[in-house]
Amino acid sequence: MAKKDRLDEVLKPEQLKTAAGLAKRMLEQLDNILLGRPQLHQMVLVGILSQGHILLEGVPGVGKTALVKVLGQLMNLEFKRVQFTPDLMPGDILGTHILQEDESGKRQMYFQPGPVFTNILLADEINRASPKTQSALLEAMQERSVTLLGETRSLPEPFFVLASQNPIELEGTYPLPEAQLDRFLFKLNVAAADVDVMDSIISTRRRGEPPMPNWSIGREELGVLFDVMGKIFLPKPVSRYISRLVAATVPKTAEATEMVNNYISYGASPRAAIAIAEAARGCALIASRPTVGFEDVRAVTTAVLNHRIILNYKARFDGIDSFAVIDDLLSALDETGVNLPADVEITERMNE
Amino acid sequence: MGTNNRLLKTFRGRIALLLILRLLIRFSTVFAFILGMVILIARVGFAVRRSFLLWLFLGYLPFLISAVVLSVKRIPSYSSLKALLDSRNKCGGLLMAGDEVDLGFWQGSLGPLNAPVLRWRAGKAAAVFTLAVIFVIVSFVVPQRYMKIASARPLNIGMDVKELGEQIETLKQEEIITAEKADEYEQKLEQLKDKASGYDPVKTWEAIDHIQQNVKQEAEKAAMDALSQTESLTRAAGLAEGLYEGGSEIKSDVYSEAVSELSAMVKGLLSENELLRNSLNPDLLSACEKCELSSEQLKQLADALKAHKLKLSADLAKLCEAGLADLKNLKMCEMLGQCDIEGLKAFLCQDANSMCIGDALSMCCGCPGRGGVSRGRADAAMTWTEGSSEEGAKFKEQVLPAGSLAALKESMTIGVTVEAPTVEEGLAPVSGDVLGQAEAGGGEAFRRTILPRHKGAVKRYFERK
Repeated sequence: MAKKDRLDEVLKPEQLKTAAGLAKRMLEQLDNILLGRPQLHQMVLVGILSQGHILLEGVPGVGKTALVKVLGQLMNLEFKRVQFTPDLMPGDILGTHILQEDESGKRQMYFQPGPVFTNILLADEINRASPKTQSALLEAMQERSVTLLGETRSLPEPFFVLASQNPIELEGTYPLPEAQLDRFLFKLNVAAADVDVMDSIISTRRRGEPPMPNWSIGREELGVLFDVMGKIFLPKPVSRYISRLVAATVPKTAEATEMVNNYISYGASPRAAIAIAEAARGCALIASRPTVGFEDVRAVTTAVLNHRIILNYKARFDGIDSFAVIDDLLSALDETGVNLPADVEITERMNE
Repeated sequence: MGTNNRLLKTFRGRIALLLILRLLIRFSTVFAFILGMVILIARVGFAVRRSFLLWLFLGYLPFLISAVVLSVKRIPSYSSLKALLDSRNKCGGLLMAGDEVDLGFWQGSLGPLNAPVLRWRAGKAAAVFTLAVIFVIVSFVVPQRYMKIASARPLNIGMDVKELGEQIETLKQEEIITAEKADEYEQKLEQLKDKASGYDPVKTWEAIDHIQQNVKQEAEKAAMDALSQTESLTRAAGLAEGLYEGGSEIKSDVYSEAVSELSAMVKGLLSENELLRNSLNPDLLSACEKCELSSEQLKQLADALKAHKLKLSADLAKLCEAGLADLKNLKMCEMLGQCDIEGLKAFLCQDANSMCIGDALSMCCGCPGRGGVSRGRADAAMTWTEGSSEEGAKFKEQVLPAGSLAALKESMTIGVTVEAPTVEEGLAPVSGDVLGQAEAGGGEAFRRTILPRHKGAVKRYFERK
């Protein structure tokens, strides 16, 4: 049965309560196992709830791989890791046909599935592989299937790609093409831990090894979560805001800001709008709300858009990054569409 | 939900009011500046009355309507305001979703909403609006006398045009000018009245003067004709009456000559005056032609000529009253209209005192000294009875102008000699004036050549010393 585009009623409180409880418990587990990054964990959870792929960017040793491993353990799903290297071939990821002799002595081509046939695929240092290999993931990430020698094979449900890349080593790396980047729901920066966090890690964990989760979510429960996600209501003004926001990233459009016009070569695609809507639903679920609000959109916009807008050379010369442009856009665009004159402003009522 | 809806309506109403007020002030500012400019131009350039300028305030209506319409178009929709309230009250989309789906249990979780505060930074707009209003008030209130350019506007020629129009009407009534000519003059006057401008009054005055001059010329010509005809009529009427009065006392040859003279005069008058011809009956005209006028006909002729003379006099009086002819013309007309009938009768009865009829008429009718080539003598009549004696006659002493004294007074000293002039023997006598020998400048003594006949007197003068 096809999923309805719009809903006739909002979620019942008990349904939401169960799903929100599961999401919160997952978040608690993540926070307990990996110290000091609650916001990152929330965004990763939102990405998982949205069934999106996540690109983690950070210097070595900040816990990218650990995060993905814990996620795999926590969701009780099959987890595989591929270390991307320059000589990695598409077949090494997708799988290959090999010639084998059966019991009757007849030789036949058998398909040997690659590591992509899993629930959670950790593509470690994805930018070290050649574009040819990187592109091997395109179909898998978008269609959740693999086509080899004319035969299409579906990937197991759910399927997530959690990739990591190192932003400082440029030698011997291949920056991900735009089409590849667009398939990631989020690109999240994993920052270095602060003093207190590092102190806790050193003092409480032997060799920094994270503890095993004491709870994991089952497949059925994960299905409930995904089901509830589909019932989170997206009001029209919010969907309108998302559309305006994404449209405004395209230079020379009606609501494009001066910064967008100056520093962006190409704006985000409609896929970005879909991603924001989905991710905003995830945020609303974690916040135990049956509807998506503007604050949910604002919370996920940066993570969704930062790798989807292509800056021009002028931005590089002026030291402007995509985060600055998105911040400017979020502050300039009126979410409600009230569109009052510039000399009329709406302020909060002062509490007496 | 009902409370929240009321809140939403109230909030939308406040926004609408604020937007209308805001645009109204902007439009009013623009209107006020335009109105002020229009009032200034109207008052300075055309001296329009203030009561009339009040109608300009009706021009505010389109601005008012435009401001309201444009503001209403800009009022945010209910859904966007709901989104605003949802965002400000941190409802997480629940308030917005209420428009689309049934919230069910969640309806109760929406508490009372707080409307945000609307603020309008109106300082600059209010300042400009105040300036514009002050501008309108000043441009409206300033007295007309301070509007300097206005003082030189329309040239008031109404009185002159009216007077000239009356004169033209008089000329038209007296048939001195034709109706077409009168209409042409009146049209020109109307044009002048319309185009008269204080910026360049010379042209207007020149045009008025031109028309006035033409009108006066026509009137003077008519007056001169009237005078001429009056004189002729007086002479003819006088002669007719003299003949009638004299009757049989006049010698037959003088009577015949006088009747012939009268007939000739009447013919001349008739040829110049059609009106006179119409007033005479055919028998009388026929008798005039044949120079056979009876006593009764002479009387009729005299009366008719007198009546016509009186009409001419009355016409001239009208011209004088309209300022088209001098009073002296009227007086002259009266003088020319007088005739000494008794004197004329006596002349005729006494065989005209050996004078021709024309001379006798010149003596008795009209004023002397107005003769011409065809009528009488040109000099004044000189009549006396007896010569005056020169004895005891005293002439009045009269002081003549002292030409030489004045010449002496106007003279000036140009040099004084310090020693006696030397007398040079054998000096040639002076020819021409004495000053011709003077030398100018150089500080030399003025030399005067002594005429030979004075030399002895001068010599004696110095010898006595």
